[in-house]
Amino acid sequence: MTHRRLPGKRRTLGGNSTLWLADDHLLLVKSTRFAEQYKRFYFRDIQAFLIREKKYSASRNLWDVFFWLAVVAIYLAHAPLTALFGAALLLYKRFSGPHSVCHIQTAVQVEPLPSLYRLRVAEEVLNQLVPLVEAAQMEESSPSEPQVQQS
Amino acid sequence: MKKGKLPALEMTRRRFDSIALAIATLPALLIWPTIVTGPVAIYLCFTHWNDPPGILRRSRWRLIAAFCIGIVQVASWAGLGIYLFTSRDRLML
Repeated sequence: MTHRRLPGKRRTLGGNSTLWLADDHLLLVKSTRFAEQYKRFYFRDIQAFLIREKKYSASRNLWDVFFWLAVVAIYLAHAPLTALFGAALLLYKRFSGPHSVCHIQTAVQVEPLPSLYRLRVAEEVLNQLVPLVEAAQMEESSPSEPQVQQS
Repeated sequence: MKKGKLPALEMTRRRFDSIALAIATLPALLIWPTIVTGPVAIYLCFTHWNDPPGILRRSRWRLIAAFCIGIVQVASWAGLGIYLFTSRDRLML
């Protein structure tokens, strides 16, 4: 079975998290560089995708601005090109669209999907997933519909 | 059946190719540990060359890189040892 990687990758100090699409399931891969952990969500079991936009508080934004300015000020004195490049990268990451928190719900669990941390990416992925899930569940439910017997 | 042959049942997987590459490269920053970690990297490459590819197929470039770096480290230590040994003989003469 082949897997296709879906957009979005959440990188942390300890590793990264990605989503992969197969014919009948969604695969969540959490990597810690030297090991990978897999979780499969079969389309027929998925009940909901929960997305909410993540709002940053005013104090968090102020801390961000203070921190970036401090970093730029320190580096500008020693390595101006590196400082400007780093600052541009950080500002891009900070302000390139709203953040989101996404979860997937099945009958037995609600699991976070860390790779969908940008609202734009989450919507893009869900636009691909929802038709597949609906098709799988329609297929699943059609043979089990109660048969009307006429006597 | 070898462990990891059935990807559909797999929940976790150790990435020995990444481990081998890390063992080959990270200790090189301190130089001295490579006398041990170079052979260990080569050993890992040999023992995990035929591991099942897993759910997400990855190429073997990490194993190849780890092997090459390990060989260079071992060869360097061997060369240094031979040089020191022969120069000591010359000095004693």
